[in-house]
Amino acid sequence: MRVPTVTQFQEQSEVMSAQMLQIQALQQKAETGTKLQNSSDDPVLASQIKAVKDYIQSLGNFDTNGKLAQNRYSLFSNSLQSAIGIMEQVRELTQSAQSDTLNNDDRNNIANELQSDLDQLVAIANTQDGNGSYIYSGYSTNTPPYVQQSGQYVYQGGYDSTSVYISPSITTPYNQSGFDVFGAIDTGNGSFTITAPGTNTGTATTSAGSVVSEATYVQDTYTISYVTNSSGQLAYQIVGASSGQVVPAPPATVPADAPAFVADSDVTFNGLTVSVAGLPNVGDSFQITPSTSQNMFNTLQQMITTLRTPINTPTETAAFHQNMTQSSAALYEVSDHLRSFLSQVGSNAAQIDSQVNTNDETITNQKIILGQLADVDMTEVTSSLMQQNIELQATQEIYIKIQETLFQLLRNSTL
Amino acid sequence: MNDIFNIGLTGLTAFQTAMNITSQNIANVQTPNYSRRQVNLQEGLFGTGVNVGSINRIYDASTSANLQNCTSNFSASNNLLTGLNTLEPLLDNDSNNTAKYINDTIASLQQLNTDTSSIQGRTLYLNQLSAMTTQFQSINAQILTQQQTINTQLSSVAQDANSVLVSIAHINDQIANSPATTDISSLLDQREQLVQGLAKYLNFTAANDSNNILSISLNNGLQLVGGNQAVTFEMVPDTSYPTNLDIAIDNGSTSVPLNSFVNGGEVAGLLTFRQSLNLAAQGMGRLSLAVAGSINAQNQLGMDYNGNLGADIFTDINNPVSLTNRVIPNTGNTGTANLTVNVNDLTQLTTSDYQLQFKTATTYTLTRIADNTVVSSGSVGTLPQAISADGITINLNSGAVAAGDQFIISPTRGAINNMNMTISDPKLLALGFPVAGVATTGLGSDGTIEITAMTDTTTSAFSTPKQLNPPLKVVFLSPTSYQIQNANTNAVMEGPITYNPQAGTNVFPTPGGYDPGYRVTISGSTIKTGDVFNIEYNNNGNSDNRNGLAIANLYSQGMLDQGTSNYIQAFNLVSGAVSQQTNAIQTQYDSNQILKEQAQNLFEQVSGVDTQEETVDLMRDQEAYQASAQILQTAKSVFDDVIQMLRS
Repeated sequence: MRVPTVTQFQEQSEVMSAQMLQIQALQQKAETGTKLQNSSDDPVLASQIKAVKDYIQSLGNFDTNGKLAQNRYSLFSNSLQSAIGIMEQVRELTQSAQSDTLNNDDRNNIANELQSDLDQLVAIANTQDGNGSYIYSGYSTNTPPYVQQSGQYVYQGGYDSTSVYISPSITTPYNQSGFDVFGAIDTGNGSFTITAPGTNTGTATTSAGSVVSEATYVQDTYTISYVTNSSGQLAYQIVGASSGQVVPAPPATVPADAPAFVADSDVTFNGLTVSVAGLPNVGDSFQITPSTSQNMFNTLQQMITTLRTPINTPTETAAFHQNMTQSSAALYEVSDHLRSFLSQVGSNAAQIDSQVNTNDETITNQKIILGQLADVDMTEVTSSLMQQNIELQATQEIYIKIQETLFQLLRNSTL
Repeated sequence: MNDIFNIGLTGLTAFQTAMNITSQNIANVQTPNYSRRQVNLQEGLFGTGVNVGSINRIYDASTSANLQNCTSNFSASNNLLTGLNTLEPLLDNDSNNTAKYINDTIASLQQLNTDTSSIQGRTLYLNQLSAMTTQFQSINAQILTQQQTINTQLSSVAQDANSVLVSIAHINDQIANSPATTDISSLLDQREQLVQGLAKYLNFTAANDSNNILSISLNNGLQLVGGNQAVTFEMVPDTSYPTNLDIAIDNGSTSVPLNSFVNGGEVAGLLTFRQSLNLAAQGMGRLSLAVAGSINAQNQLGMDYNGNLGADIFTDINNPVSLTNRVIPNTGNTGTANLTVNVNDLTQLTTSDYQLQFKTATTYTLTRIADNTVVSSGSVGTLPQAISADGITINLNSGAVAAGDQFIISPTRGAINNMNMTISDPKLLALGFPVAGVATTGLGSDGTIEITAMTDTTTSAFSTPKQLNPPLKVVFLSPTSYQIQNANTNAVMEGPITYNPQAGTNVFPTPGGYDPGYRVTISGSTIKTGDVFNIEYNNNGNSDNRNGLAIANLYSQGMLDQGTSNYIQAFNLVSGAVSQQTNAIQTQYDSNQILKEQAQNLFEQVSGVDTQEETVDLMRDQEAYQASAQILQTAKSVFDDVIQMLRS
């Protein structure tokens, strides 16, 4: 077979440039540390790498959210804990305030202490984060959730919490609605409130009362009124706004058949019980109304107002105790409510922590996988590079050899 | 005696010629397409020494045709690969990756969703959206530039090919007019070089007749060179895509585009690359429609920082300019029909263009070009009429179609040209829901109300700014039934409606069919008679992020391909297709390169010069020449001897 001169040289130079290209590719790999310089080097591997990268990126977003949520929840937890601490103090003050040994000045002093507690609690509800956003204002983080308007604390934040995604499928509340935390607290004992009209003249006061049986409890507005029965005794009758006459049970008639009043005894009907102390006068009454929702600040404010009202007569003392009993029952509700909220915050925070951990672990694992997919094995590249270099040198030497043409040989021999 | 002189002389002449030819061969060792010559010596008749019988040009037509074919194939893949190597980094690039731009927008949105009242966070998201839009536009512009470059490249190929064709025809003419005895080898070499040069541009068949006249024709038989006549290539606008220029043969009256007859050479490479660019432009266009269309739609369902209903963030994907631009009438149309195209279902939208053909004035066929499938066909009556398929609606608005009219429907290709941000005020990002639910439940009730989704803010419920028309109250009549009341007038609108205490109940649309354009779920197992849930306008909701979360969901949701591709995946489809093609063409290029080298070697084996061989020939001929000279010397001395003898 003939090997034309052009072919000889061309083949050698082609071999050399191919070798140079391979060396260049290896050098690029070594410099960038990645297997693929272009996706077209290996489209299948490239799409796997892209999928892992996108996954890491999207998890990274959730991870950031999770970490922000962790900060947010430590704010929630700290603020609720201090609120619960203040409420403890409030309860102690409330208990001592009901002592009959105190005079009007003492009660006024307690009212002053309670006022400062109230101010602190409002400040907690209006907690802002580092960006100045109110954390208990739901949709309206620019608006302080609680402000005082004509003597009443009003919630003006958003009624719903906003949430953020901490994983592709899990959301967690991020800006809490202060209405849920501080606002939606039932008055009275949580089921009903017992109030005395200002027209009572006796010294009777009621306990906070309670529901004895959820099954038989009939929610209604009841009026307990004191009458004289047919035996001439001081007696009581109870009428529900929609239940009608409850005590004495029909067909007994009122006031003739009304049961006699017994001091310090429990009156139980329609699933609820209440005890009455002191002595009512005929014509006195109490009203049992289903609890309504009220924010804790107004409850506390009412108590402060009660404490500041001077007591001079037994009737006023009775009214004072009636109000204090109801208000302190409501304050128990507040503490319970804050505690249950704190425990919910705790369990949310635990979920966030575990999700952040999961996210972090997944990201770490995915990064390892990405490394395995995308990164070059440096030892392999280095040894290939050395081998290629040796091969190139060999080719170059061959090239130099074949340059010695017959002509040169002839010329050499004649010299 | 005279014979010896003559014989010696013929030897000298013959070997002189042989040495000339050898020198000629050696001198042309590097000349491309030079075919080596061989001297055939012939015995002189009746003892008259030696003659140069013939000088052969060592040439094999089949190795030449093989080389020409391999050159065409190599040059096609070389050209295509060069193009793809510029396109791939545009789409697949670590530092300036479109996927990264999309990811940046979602990252800033996720952060913004933790506090949507932050103007700074809103500005950042808007800036990221704007950067992404710019990236889309820049890629689109570069694809467009490359498409224009193809037009330029095709034109210059046409020019070069024209001069080659003319030269071949000219050499044919010279050969035809040469006297029979002339050595035409160098003309043949020149022509060979031209033919191999032409093979770089396109593939063809070359046929030599007995008189060495070469004719060149395309694979379909269309003749480019016949005798001394050559056709002229010219550039004509593509009939379907008039912005593309095609190489066509000028037949005097008509132009015949070469596109379907050429599958080798730079022309084929450029035409294939044009398709690749098309696919990339269509894919990017579809992505831009998905992003703009879905984010616009979701933003419209939301409420902005100022408490107003959201508007478009990007140019409406069905803006009047795009509606018209999606239709490309064939240059040969004779009808007057005015067409526009709406994109109405992104999940159905393909990247393909469509061909709308009116075989008669009353029937149409709509063909999806990517897989050549008829997606719709039927009859055409009096306009207006609408044709829907694959998530698009073609509106035949006015005028009349004529038999034979054709339109290219291109829903995606130019989409990015009309993609712009239409808002710059970060407060206009509508990240909240315009509706809020407030539970005013009694004691012991665990009832909650949630606005789960916004479906339509163009209903009458939103006819008054910043108000619900009307605000509603869901009032429970019993633990298992409720009624819906107008919260302003307390008028009962519907009820009683059954409530499911276990699973909760979706309030809208109501059993009576009332749908205010939002979805509300009431749940709770201990809802009491008299519990009231208010549904009102979300005043003061500038930190509400429910619509922000809904927009964030668009990024992970499949917006395209029947819900299987989200934005990033849709982009990866575009760049992945280019990478795959580049990979395939790289392989093709490698093998075509080897084939071409082999073909070149084969050609050289036959026709190439081997200096070693020539050196040996030269030495041998030199010996023979010297020997012939010796013959003359001998003859002279014999003659001298005779003369001496005669003298003496």
